[in-house]
Amino acid sequence: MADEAEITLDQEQIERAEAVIAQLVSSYLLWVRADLLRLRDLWEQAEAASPADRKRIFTAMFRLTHDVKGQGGSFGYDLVSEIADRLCRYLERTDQWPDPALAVVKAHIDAIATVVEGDIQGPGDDSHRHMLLTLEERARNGA
Amino acid sequence: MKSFDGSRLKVLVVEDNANFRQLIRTVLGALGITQVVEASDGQDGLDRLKDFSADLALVDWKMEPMDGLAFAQKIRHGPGSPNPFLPIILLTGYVEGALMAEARDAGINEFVQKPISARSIVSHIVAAVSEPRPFVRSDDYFGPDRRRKRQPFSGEERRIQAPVLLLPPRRLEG
Repeated sequence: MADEAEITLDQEQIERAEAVIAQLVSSYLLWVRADLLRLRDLWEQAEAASPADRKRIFTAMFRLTHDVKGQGGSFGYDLVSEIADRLCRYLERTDQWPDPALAVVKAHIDAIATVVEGDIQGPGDDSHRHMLLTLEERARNGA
Repeated sequence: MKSFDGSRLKVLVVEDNANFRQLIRTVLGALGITQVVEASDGQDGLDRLKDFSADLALVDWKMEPMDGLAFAQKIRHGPGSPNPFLPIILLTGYVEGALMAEARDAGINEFVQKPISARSIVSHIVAAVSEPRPFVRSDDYFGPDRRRKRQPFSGEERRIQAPVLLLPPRRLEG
């Protein structure tokens, strides 16, 4: 049995943990690029499939996108998580997959790639806010 | 008061994404937590606990074949559970109210929302091991007390039998 002294977390411990996460950023960029390749591969599979067969492929895409969402913000790539979250929501609520809906998915994947290749950390600037608004509109219209 | 010392803490990480496992292990290492065993899904986690007496489990939600909630239910209720009081922290991107309630009903102690930050994961680990909530056993629930605040309850008592409050068998120093 431990003694009853209150255990606290000091700022130095937090900073040490933040520092080790920062050291993993170069690894993260390799991870997310690999995820983007897999997302593009799944998208191409969906494009080649009939609309009726696309649901299964997009279920796999949801899981992968959910992982992308879960990691980006941990490394300062908040926009990656934001766009991936929007793509997850779109994949969740979409049942029918005509070609225009495929284009919405591709726009989200391209947007994630733009953020990663531009090395955009944090919330981005006005152009990125405009990009999010455009994605939102396309997801709403389904095309 | 004393600082958190993770050097004696044994942690099981149950997560299907290898990259995320590496991230968690690295953060744990920064806290001095080096006794870490990894598992890739709930069943793998249960298997690992057969020869690793973890003090804490960090668990993803969506995994196959066994997800994080099924893992928690096996820990809390399974006939061969290695430790029904094991503190379980759920790492999740699902924060909708109904899903959170489902997770609490499965016996989850704490939630860390993905994407994680160093501060979020560290503070929940410290809370789980230094201020363990009492456990409750009632007709249909066993797990950490789901009421986070101690306050008088004035509504209609819907429980058939008053719950029994239990303390975890030991308090961890970290």
